[in-house]
Amino acid sequence: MNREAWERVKEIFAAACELPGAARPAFLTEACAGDPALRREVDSLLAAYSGIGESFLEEPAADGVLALIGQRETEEWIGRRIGAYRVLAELGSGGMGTVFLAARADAEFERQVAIKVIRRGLDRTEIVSRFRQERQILAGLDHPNIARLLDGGATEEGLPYLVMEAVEGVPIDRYCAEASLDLPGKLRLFLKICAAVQYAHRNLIVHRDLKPSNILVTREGEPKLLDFGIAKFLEPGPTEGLTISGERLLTPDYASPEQVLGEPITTSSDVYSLGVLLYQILCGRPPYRVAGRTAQELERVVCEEEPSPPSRTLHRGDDTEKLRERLQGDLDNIVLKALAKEPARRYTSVEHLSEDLDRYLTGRPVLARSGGWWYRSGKLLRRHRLRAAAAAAVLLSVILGIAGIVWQARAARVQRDLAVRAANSMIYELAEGLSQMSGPTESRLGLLTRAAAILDQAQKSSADPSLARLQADSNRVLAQTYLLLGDLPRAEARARLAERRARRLAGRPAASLDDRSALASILILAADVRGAQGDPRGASSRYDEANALFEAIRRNPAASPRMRLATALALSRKGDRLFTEGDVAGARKLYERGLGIVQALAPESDREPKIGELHATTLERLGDVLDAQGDDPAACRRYLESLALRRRAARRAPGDPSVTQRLALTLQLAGWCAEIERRIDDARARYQESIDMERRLLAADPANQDLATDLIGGLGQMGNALLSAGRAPEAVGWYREAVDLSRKLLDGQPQSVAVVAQAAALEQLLGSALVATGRLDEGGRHLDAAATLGSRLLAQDPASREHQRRMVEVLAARAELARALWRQGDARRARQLLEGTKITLLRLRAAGQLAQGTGGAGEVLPDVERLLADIERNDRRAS
Amino acid sequence: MRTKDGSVPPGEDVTRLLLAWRDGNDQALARLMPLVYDELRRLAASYMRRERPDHTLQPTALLNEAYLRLVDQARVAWQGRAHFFGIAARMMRRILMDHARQHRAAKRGSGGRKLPLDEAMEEPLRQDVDLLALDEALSRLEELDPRQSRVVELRFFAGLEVTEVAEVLGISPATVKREWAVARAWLHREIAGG
Repeated sequence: MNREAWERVKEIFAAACELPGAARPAFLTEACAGDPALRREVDSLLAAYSGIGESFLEEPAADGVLALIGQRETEEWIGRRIGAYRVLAELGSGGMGTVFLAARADAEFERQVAIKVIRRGLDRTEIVSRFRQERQILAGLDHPNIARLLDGGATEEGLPYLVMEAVEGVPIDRYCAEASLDLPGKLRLFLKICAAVQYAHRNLIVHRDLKPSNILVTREGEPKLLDFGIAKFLEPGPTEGLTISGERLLTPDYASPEQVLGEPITTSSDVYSLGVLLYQILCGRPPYRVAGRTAQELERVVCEEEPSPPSRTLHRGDDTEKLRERLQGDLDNIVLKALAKEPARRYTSVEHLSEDLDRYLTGRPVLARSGGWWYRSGKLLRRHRLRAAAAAAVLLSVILGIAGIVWQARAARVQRDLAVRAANSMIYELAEGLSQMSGPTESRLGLLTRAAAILDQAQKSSADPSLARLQADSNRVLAQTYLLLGDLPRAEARARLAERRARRLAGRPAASLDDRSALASILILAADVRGAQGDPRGASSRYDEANALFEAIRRNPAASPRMRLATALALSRKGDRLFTEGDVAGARKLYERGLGIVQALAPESDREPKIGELHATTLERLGDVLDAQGDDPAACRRYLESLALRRRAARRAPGDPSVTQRLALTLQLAGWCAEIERRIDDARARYQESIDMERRLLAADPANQDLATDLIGGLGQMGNALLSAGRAPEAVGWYREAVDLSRKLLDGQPQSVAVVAQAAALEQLLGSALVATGRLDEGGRHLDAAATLGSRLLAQDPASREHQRRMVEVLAARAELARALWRQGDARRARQLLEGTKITLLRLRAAGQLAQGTGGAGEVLPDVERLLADIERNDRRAS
Repeated sequence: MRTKDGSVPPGEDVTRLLLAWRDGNDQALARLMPLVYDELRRLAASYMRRERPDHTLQPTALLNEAYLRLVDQARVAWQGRAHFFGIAARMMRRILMDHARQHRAAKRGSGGRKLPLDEAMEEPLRQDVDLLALDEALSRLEELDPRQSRVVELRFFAGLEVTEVAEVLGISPATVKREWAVARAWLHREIAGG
């Protein structure tokens, strides 16, 4: 039977199967008309089908086959002698070899040991040397909680083996589940493990594979660490760069982000694994569900998905509530800090982790603090550098608003005095604290908590709606500032208070538009707090509720300019969120709506400078969106419009540093506009003006890191302008200054995404400029620095388009370097560089990190390959 | 990525061989099989030693793990996974058939061509189908309809679910179901018809 006929048979058969039995004959007659052979075939198949038992082929043989082949492997070893021992059973199988239970063959009493034999088929010289290295490692470790090495040798076939203390015990996760340990008991057990890992670290050994099956707990309750099998010396040496058979050694549930990405493993990876272990011990399951996922999903989950805090993961149970309470807060924070995606944000050593846990156990304050919002704040800062300044501006305006209310309250009675005084002192203290926005966190928090304490005292004596409003607002301000400073638990507590009060006020029959507007603003804040805590649903529902309220307010002609302003702000904030999530079109709509509101308020802007400020900011946001959508001219129109507004604001408030700062930044945007229109001189003039302003501001406020970042940005822009005008040597000078400043900043703030991203960009630009002027070695070094920083960024946030774009640009710059090397005659290095670049690109692509729109990523890879091909062809021709 | 003594680690090997085979080098398959077998063997042995005896082997998880460990996904597109699974399924079929043949030889006097249901540990396979006849019929099916026979291999020998087969082969689950139905009918007819 030919293919076509067969396809027909299948089609008809399938269709017939779907019909009820009675309808089949008629259908078949029609379908097979004129082809009796076809009809016969289909009939016989149908008959066969109806005659099949349920189980024909339905139960896969897979299980059985795998069991079969599994058995064979074990059978080969059982009963054999290895050295002075006889193999009794198989205990486990790891990356390098198999572990057997054995006993002394010639002794009266059987002392059982564990023997690890290197895998057959893996006995290649470097693997063997690695195995011997493990012997060395274990021989050097002498710790009660680490399985001891007893002996070593080689089998008859020459397979190396290690004889170790056989540990009889239960994997720690099972132990914790079954031994009904209380919370302190579990923690103390965990601390013993930490001590063992610490000891290994002190001997420069990273375990790299900490997981429950590698940690057994004996009957006496002592944990024992096993299988330093893929451990590695920290010192660089001949062992550097070896992997086991090119495999990726992962236990998916426990792999750290850097392991999954194939990046260098450090002691920090062990901290991460300990975090996972702790999570598992406390909650009964690991932080991520990883079973059965593809490699790509694995990378996404481990490197991107934020784990749910342990207190939230607990199942319902009898004493779960109590346990949940105890876990919440400090212990949550400790676990999450150990589980941070970026190594720099975890505990710097196992010792620190132990210490913090110890602090927790003895009731002292822990050092871990929820850092989630910091990270996001940094990200936003990069995209919208004005954000922090804008937040301050909003807070200030609210405070001024409160001051207005307080003035009114002053006219009232003595019983209100306390509340008034409280509000007053809070206003002043907060305002003072805010004006020092870049001061150390601890003192700002201290300031805040003091103000909060005073406020709480005042809270007790209020029934008056105007005071209640004051309190709701004050709590909101507090929550916002706590959020800004990264103290999530306190932020949430305050947000809750504010929300409760505001709802009560807005729910009254006499509720005014003001009350509803206040509730809306508070809901936005509450949403922000939830978002920062990793509760997207809680966040979304509040955003939605707030937006609905704002919509109603917007349509209400009685709404005051202040309310409208608040609405515009809320829209802009939501737009920010959408933008960072990648919904550019959605963000654009919101910004446009916000812009509409602000433009309508323009006549009031002389009285209310905040309007002008929000107008300019929204224009810039819109510009960013248009830029992201590829419409540069439209973006520039917005930027220039904003520039005009900023200049006007600066004229009206000449000495105001924040106004000047904003103008300086907008000048950079305007400079970029001139650049893309090829008006280089105009661009340089604007950049120069911006740089001069920023230098002055920085001189007056040297600790202000925002200003430093802005200045660095300005210097970089200037370099860009010169580079694109073909004046590479001059560009180098500007870039160098920028890189120097950037490195200093990075020293002080290694965790800030904004700072790292900026540093990466500048190192790359400097590197490219140096390459363009023929200084290849120096340029190469800076490109290397850029690549390292770029990888760090991607490791932290693999889905970020910006970071992906940055990485691609670095790689493209490297390709250029390779081309230059080749032209200079160094084909070997050129090729090496290109091969490495190609592999990185492929890896990024496979990980889904070369998303659309990441700046010509589609062209870079083929370019690299083409260049490689050219070089190779040339080589062959030459030889 | 070459190591010091110039040899290429198996992980590299598998990826390279897989790509070579995809690109038409048939010899690559012969060299690929033992490497994959080795890995499956090792994983199967370790899976079998899970603490709970009632814990099934979850073939898909095992095959996934083998794939993750052996193949460098950076260099192999998604079809590589399909090829890998196809190979694994093919290998498992071969193993099963070898075993069946050995057992048939050993049970010479048992009469009849069916393998008896056997609870003993040495016979971990419970099948009430004549495996060798199935093997033969399947080879014939392969000539008639290669894709359909792959569906059978993936479902029956590798134990993949319908959706997993669909993913591996790049077709819709509905198509998989249809092929599976036809295949069962056809195979049954061929086996029963003798």
